[in-house]
Amino acid sequence: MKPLKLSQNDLEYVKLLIDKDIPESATDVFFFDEMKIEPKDYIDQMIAIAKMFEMDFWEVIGRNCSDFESKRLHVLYDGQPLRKIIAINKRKKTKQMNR
Amino acid sequence: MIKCIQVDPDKKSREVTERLIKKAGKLRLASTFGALNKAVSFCKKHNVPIMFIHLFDFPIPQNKILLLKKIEENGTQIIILSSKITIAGEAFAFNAADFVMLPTTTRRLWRACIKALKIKDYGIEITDAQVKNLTTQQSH
Repeated sequence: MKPLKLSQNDLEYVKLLIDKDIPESATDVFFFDEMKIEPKDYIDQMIAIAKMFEMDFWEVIGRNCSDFESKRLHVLYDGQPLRKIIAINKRKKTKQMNR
Repeated sequence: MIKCIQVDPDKKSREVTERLIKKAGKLRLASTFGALNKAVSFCKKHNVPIMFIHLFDFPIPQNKILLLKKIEENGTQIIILSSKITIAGEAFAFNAADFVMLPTTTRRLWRACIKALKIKDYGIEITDAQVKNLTTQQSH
């Protein structure tokens, strides 16, 4: 990988973009279908980009997204069916309502 | 409707951006160019508030920077689209209105337009609440 020649200001801005844009795209429910991209391919690419700037993709997601969105992304990354996370979330909501 | 143009030598990504622009609803794609120099001539003849340009090279070639500066002088706000995030830092060397990392969403593209129009002060007063409302509408 080529060394990056960015000024401190540019570096800060790039980090801000990673922090804001990646979570927004990744958690958009239509994103992967619309872009016709595999979630795993995209996430792997974003993990690599975040790493280039000494950031942790999953930490960025955890900090900027809801618990459901974060879990949904993990499920998509692992290639598991979405109904699993929906069922967990449904159970959680029912439990909360019963309290 | 807000008039915009796009510059993208890659047919496939051009089509994706066109789809996002159409989906945004409030944007009208006046023209699409494969080469930047043709966009410069177009901007000289027409009033174009927003231009989307897909950049691949890092660092951005000097000749492209000069052409982008010419476009900016005509009052067109430039929104850089790129999958290479390292370009973001350079993009602001010629006062680009925003940098959007590819692939992106309609919502993000629209937000970049709002930011660009605010910079241009196009006579459109858009409050943050309205932006939020508009972006929410885009996502449905």
